[in-house]
Amino acid sequence: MPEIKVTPLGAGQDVGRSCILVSIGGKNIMLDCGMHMGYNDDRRFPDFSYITQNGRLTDFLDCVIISHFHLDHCGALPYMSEMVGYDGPIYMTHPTKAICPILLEDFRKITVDKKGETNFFTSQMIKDCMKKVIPLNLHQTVQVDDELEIKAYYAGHVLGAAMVHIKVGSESVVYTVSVNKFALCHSGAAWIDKCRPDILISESTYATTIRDSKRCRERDFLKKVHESIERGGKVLIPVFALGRAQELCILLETFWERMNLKAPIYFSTGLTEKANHYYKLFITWTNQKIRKTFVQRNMFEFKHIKAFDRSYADNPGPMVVFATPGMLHAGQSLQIFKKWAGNDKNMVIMPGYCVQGTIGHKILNGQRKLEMEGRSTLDVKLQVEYMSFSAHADAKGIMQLIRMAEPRNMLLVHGEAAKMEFLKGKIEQEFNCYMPANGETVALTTNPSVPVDISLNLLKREMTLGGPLPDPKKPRTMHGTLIMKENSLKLVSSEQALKELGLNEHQLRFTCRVQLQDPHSDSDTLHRIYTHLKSVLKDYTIQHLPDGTVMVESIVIKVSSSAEDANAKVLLLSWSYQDEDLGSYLSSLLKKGLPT
Amino acid sequence: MDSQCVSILPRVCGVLLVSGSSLPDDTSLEKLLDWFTTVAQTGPSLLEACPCLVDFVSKVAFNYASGSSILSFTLKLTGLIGASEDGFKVLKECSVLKLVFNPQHWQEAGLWEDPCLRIGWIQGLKMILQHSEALSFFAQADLIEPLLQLQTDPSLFVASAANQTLAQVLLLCQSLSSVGHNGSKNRDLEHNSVSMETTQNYSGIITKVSEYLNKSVVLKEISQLPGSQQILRLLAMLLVRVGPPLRDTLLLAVMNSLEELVTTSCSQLTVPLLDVILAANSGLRDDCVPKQRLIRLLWAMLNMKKPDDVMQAAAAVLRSHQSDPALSAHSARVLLLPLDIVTGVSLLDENSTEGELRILITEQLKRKSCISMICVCLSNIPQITLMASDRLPCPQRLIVTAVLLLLRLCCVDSSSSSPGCVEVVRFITGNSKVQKCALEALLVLSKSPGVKMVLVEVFKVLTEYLNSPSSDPSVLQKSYQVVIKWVGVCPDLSCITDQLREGFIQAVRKRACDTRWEARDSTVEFLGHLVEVPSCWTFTEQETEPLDVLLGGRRFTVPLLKEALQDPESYVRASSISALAQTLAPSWQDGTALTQEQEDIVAQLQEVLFQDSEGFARRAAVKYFTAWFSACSSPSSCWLLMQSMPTVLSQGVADLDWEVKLHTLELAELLLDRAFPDPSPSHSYAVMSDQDHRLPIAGQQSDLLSSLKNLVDWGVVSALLCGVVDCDRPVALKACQLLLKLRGIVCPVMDNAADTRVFCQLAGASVLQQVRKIQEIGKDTHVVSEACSEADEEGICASVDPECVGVCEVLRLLDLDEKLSILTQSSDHIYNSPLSLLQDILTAAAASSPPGQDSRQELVMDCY
Repeated sequence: MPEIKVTPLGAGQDVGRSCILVSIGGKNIMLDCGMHMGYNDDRRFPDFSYITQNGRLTDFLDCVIISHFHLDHCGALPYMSEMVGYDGPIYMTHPTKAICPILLEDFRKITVDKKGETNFFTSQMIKDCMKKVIPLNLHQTVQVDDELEIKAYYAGHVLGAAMVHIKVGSESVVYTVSVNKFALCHSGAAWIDKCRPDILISESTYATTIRDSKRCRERDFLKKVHESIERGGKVLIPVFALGRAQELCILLETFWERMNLKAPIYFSTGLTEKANHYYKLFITWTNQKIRKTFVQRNMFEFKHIKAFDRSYADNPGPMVVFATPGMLHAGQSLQIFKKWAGNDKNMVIMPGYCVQGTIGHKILNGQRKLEMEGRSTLDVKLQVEYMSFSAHADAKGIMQLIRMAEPRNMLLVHGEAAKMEFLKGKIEQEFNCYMPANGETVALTTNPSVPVDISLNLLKREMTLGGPLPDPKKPRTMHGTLIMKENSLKLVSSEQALKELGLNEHQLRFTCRVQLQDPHSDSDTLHRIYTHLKSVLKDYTIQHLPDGTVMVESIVIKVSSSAEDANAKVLLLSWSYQDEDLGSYLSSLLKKGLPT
Repeated sequence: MDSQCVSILPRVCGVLLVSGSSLPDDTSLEKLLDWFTTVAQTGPSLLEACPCLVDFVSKVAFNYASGSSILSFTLKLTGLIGASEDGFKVLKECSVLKLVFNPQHWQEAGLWEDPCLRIGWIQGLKMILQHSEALSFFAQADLIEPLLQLQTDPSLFVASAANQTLAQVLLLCQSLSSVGHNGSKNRDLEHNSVSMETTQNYSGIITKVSEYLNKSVVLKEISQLPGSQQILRLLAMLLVRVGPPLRDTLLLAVMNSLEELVTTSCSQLTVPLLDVILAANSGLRDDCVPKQRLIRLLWAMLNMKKPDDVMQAAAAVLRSHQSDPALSAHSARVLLLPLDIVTGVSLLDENSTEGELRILITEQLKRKSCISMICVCLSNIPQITLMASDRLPCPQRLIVTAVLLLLRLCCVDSSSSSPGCVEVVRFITGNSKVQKCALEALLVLSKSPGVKMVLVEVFKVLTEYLNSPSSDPSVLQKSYQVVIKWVGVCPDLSCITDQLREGFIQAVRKRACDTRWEARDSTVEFLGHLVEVPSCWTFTEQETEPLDVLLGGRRFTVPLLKEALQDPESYVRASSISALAQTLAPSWQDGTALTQEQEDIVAQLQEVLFQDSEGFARRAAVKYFTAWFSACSSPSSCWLLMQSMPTVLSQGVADLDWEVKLHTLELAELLLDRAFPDPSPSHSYAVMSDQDHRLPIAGQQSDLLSSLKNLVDWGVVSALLCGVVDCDRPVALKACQLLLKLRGIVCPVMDNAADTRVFCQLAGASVLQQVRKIQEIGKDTHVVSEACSEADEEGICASVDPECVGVCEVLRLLDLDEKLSILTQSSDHIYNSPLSLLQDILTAAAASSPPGQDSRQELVMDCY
């Protein structure tokens, strides 16, 4: 039986690097190719030796599909394509293709900043990798090859995030990142077709929570920034070059405008301009609110937010600074943090994940004394806040998606095991649900429908037999000959089949012997049979032929006597396969004997 | 080991015991294990360094409530402790070992189902298996049974780890056995008895493994396919890793099963089965019996009925560099069959033994699945070209012809038709997968003997691809690579006619303004790479550059590249700058006078440095000046370059992109080296004697003074001072190293009077502020202004400029050595240190303890 296999190499019952292998209809697809930022060695990338030990990934994989630009979904891509040597197609949406290299460059910087870093991709490798990427448009079916097709839908998680419908023949899989409620706002009912995939693979990051609204979080954020500014403090917001930074800028810009605030806001990253450029370019991919406001004015041309110069950090008075990198482990953000950490009026707001070991991670866990380079100690007196603006799906969003796509099975990835279990329980009330650990394979037997053409003649014949007119909603049995020609199946009449295949017709007859006791001559017995059948089978043509046989339709009956016992008669019955029902009936009838 | 770490480790163990869920993130336990491994490898013993670990392991072993990640960690840790004989004894004495490695213990607790725990068990076991004591324990506890069961675990990760561990078991058996045999003569009785026991253990384990392999290799039903694949993978690995006689034992044990498996002709097993046969075959002598049987198996696989399987088998045989000439020659023939059939080029003799296979392959080529078969054929051409010419089924030149014809058939715009298999054309036309494989093959075939004759054909086909609007960007990129390669290996380009050149020029021009940035970028990169191809001969027998022959020289490429400087895609802008540098490098080396065009380029590049919104182009611009300066034999001869230098350096070092800054400092380093050529050891900045300070040589001083002034004028010193306070560590580090170099050269020679004669203007308030601060902390704050006044009197410093600093003074005041040591430590000091990790675990536990505070949990799960 055909089956679909899903094996997570990463993101199986965890939130590390995403890398999921899917085998469907003889095609092998890799969904996402992420990296784990918490490691400095080979462990940061998926172990591709599980796919193929000779390193020839191109021979094995038919394509790679990247769902969105976060590094835990695309960070290992240059490693895979330029260092391991995958040379096949890579698919992602236009915005993801544009933004991916920015984040990869950003991370490359983090990596080379560390000592003794080796085996990491170069800028040229990132470019060469991006040149292999084939961009996807929303709702456009892309034919990877003759059999494999993919179609992207809006997912709304971050700019350019997509869910992908993968189809081979009648088997299909939908893979989606954390779909959030904005996906629904974005395109309403056309969000995803009711495609009834065999499996829906979904992230389940916030599987247990129905999260408090993003609006609440935004209000909280603005309140905290405002309070700090009011008391004359400085606010540091460490960010990655792209993503949340842009959203937070828009929030502050609007708030500053509304409250007529004068404190300066600075943005200190060289990549911001490019990031803003892409947000502008892909405005149709942003959420409804941004798009609506964009019509009134260009939200990415900020009035209050200015470029930062490192000397500004020493200026007196309140200010807000967005600085990279987001984990406070090096660079501008760390330099500013060191300057401001000693003042309790100041505040640092961490809007994202921080890897263990980074200053960001330490202060979020409440460390107040930090040992810095050169054995100096830094007293952290400023306020530390964490605000998540991550747009992951919650249980409600996932259930909505399931109802929309109506999958036959559900498979959860990218979430913590315990929380996945909760959601799994919920889903299992309606669907089969799986949550494989990394390295475990889920194999699902599919029941693909095989399309068959039916000949017009056969249909017409069926109709003349008085059956109902063909109705796609009401399946019915039809008799015909199934032939395979030029890789397609056709149901035709047997005559047409013989003609099309150039074959001669052969007659197939069934025969059987029936023994009965009848103390008469053979001819009398035959006559008695004729009379008996005449009385039983009134609507049938029954003939007593001069050659000593009785014929009922195509069924021939002969009588012979046993050599030992003249009363023991042997009836020989023979019929063609078309009259099989009647032949069987007659044999059982005659076995019961003749009426006296 | 750091005493601070030792002192807080018991607390960390306590935290881990209480709950594993409060860990800072999912990497902490692995990092902790990494640290323990380092301690175990570098120190005397892990237990000596961290005695609290035994207690920790014991407590976890009896506590089912610990999370699976903590249990898994503990199992691995137990293995690590037990890896040393001392640690093993301690664990044995406290009865931990038996409990921890007893699978039943975990099964009864209902934890064995968790793959995380099974991984911990296997890896712990693998770590412990380092000595005979461990092997005895392994044998007596009959752990081979559960280990064998895990060989086909449904989890890939568990199965793979189990495979590795089994190999480790066998290797240990092997090494202990050889020690036993070699060393038993001179040992005492007691030792001999241990050795005997070891040998028994060894043979018992080997027998079980052999029986298991023999039983498992045969595929009984299709549902066991994944298991069979895994067993074959295991077998291949074992045959590679273990040596004789164990290797022979294993091989003999499975030989019959392998023969049986070959007859089942299961396609999914073809590749792993081949891996086993080839692994087994590689280490055997030609005349031994198993070798003959293996060769027969390979022949059997090459004669299977499914063409795809046969192709896979042939490819594997070639890749393994078989010594059997008949086998490899046959494999090459098999692999070339599709190419022969598709193109109709007679690569093979039709009357050969492959008749039946030819029919099967011809049938397959009429189906969609022909693509993968053709790709297997093409991607193995490199292996075929490596064969000795007498074993090749046909001259390499014919293969080139066939590949060229195939490329023509694949090209959408080509009107070629196949004299071979007609049906295949509809599948391969426009198929970029086949196109790329064929181009890769053509790339390798450039080295074939006698292919010069087909250069024109190659050129025509590649021009067709470059011309075709439907060519995929990755195909275009490969086409350019093939041009470079072929031109590089064919020094005689006399066959390139004007007509061919014209066609090629048009194609390149078209691709330079392709709508896809990937195509434009590859074109621009190609123009740069072409310059670097060595000189060739033309039909006039004159030595000339391939760039001239193919594209008519720089008069064609430079305007095209200048245009690309305005490209909307920054990658293309950056590539065009690099290509311009490559294109102009020869004229820089020759010292040819600058043209107006080159002057325009410099102006454009300065604009890029000032205005380009993206780092890639700005990085390339700085590198352009670096390349120019390196190529220029005498900087003075190139007035424009030196005139641009202050702008490039000041702009580059103040850039927002760290790599632009770093490249700028590399340029500054070149200038520094040029200003002070060949510094003698006495100028090293490491150690200077007082005498050196006291006895400056007048002439030397004045030379240095003039060089230093030059450096200041070029903007090198201000760039370095600007860089040293940069927030990006690699930038600051580089600047610091260069400043130290400068200090080492200048300061020992200069007297105080000279100090006051060279000033540097520091633009950028933050740099100046830092310097001022240091001055204040340092000594008298009025040095600079005094110096400036003095200098002003001499007419050196035009006015008392608050942004003006004395170079030597600054070099002495800045504590560069301390700065260097801090910068060298990098953030790794915090990021990677074990103390930092231990502290993080402790603080995370403390942070998670207040009730109702679950924000941290959400943080862990947040996306990057």
